[in-house]
Amino acid sequence: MGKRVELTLSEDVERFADRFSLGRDNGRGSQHFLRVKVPRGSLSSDKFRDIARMAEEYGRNGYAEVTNRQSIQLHWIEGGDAMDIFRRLDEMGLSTDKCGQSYPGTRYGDVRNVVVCPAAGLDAEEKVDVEGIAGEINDFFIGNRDFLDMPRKFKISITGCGIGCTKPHIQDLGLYPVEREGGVGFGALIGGSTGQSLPGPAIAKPLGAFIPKDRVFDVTRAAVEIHRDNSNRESKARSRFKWLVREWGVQRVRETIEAKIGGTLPDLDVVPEVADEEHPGIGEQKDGRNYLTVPLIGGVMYSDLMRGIASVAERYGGGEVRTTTHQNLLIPNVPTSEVGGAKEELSRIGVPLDRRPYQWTAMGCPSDFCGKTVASSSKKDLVRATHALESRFGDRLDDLDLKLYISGCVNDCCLASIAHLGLKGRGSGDSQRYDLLLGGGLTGEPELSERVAEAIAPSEIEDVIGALVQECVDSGYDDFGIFFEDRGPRELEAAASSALGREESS
Amino acid sequence: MPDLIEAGDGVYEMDVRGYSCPYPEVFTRNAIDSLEPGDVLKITLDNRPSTETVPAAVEEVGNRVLGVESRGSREWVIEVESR
Repeated sequence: MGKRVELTLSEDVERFADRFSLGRDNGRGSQHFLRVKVPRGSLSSDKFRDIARMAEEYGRNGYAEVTNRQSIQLHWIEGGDAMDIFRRLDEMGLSTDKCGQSYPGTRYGDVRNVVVCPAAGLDAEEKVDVEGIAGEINDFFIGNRDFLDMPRKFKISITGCGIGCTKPHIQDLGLYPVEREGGVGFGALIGGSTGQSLPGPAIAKPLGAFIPKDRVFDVTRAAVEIHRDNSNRESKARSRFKWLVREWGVQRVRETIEAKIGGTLPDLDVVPEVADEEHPGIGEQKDGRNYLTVPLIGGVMYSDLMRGIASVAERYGGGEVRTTTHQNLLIPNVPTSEVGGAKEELSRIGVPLDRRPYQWTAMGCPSDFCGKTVASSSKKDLVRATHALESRFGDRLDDLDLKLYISGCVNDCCLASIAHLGLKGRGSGDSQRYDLLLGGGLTGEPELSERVAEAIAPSEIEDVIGALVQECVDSGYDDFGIFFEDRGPRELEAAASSALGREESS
Repeated sequence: MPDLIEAGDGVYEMDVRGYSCPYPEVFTRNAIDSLEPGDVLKITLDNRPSTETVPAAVEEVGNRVLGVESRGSREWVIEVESR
């Protein structure tokens, strides 16, 4: 070996390499994104304001996004600014996702931000407070070198609420509350994912075991270790946990978890009855105060709005801002006497709480940044779709349960695969097209959505969605999922083809 | 942390495999600061986006990219001349 020359790196580089990275953007002139993990979806208003300032200083126009894993994402980040940004985040006690996506091999997968019910510890109806457990899991995995080189990423969610807001069916490990004699514990779903990697979009399977509260951490760690040590390291397409669950079967995964934790778990046949709902509007807390969910379309916000929301959280709440699992924000701890004032102030800064049900859950991804398309973006197409629905139907949507999710590519980070009405991008380049997917949903019998039309142009979205929703509401349905079940994919495929002016496929 | 190794007269090598953005860029900028004009640095990496961001970063401050070579499907070597 030749002579070694010492690099004059600051000590920070060594400390930061395990906890911070930038992701690769490839559109709108952005080279990198910064995805700030928000542990438990909770930030002080000061930190929320600091992130707004960073969006101004390092991004453009103060633009930021709430992701459906409760992170906050900035774009237009220059590599040369990265160490300054990481120092600031480190001082705030925050970190980022590790960007292992870009490695061509089956390496450098990390545990992504643990998705947690945003009303954890607050909601009057919650079965168990998961804040402590979620914090323990997050703290253990962030920057833990034993878990930074897994075959692929690993996604965890945990909720104590009864509405499955954390979407346990599409996680590698989704934990949900179960009430039993002797106390509340958890059930687990394993091997879910909406992405295209093999075996394709998959609803997670019940582990079939009751997990006492004091074993949740051990079970979680065991599941992640099983993925790390046994998932496929030969083929990136087969390296997500869902592939291993399919190869091994649930029973082997369960037995391996039990062997790792040193004890058997009681059987459980309870699965979530309701899932993928948001905590909309004003929610009652167990202490008599209230939380206010603040609606954002597609999670988009600008620094001025962020500062305004931080001020509302300080003036009317306890100075905390949370991120939700449907790309919204949540302000906890607002006394009932202050709700009116907070609502008025939120309306004044552009985020009134009187939204329709579908607007609370609608999601869109930043596909124009990641370069899956340059002609359109899923967030913009989501705005276009909601405006079209508003102008055409208005109040008629007040009672309609409609999960409208738009993803710009087959990786489907915005979950078209489980939407009532989803658009999933195909191909890439300057001619964005979407496949139309209908009938997904996680409440009741969980279902993946079915493709009923291909290659829809963004300009056609308005017509096709409008025609389907028209038929739904004209027929008196208040749940698009039930409308789909009753009508079936072939009838709605015909309706979509007609709206698109296409020949029906034979 | 990666080592900067003098492999020959005016030729240096640095292995940054295992590092994702922005670290290959950070290490490369730092390594070039240690070199004399005309020295050559060969950076081995396995983070695909760095095959674009590292050349852009070194050219931005006036250095010359001599080549980006693929070694199999999972590794690359970027060759830079310090200016």
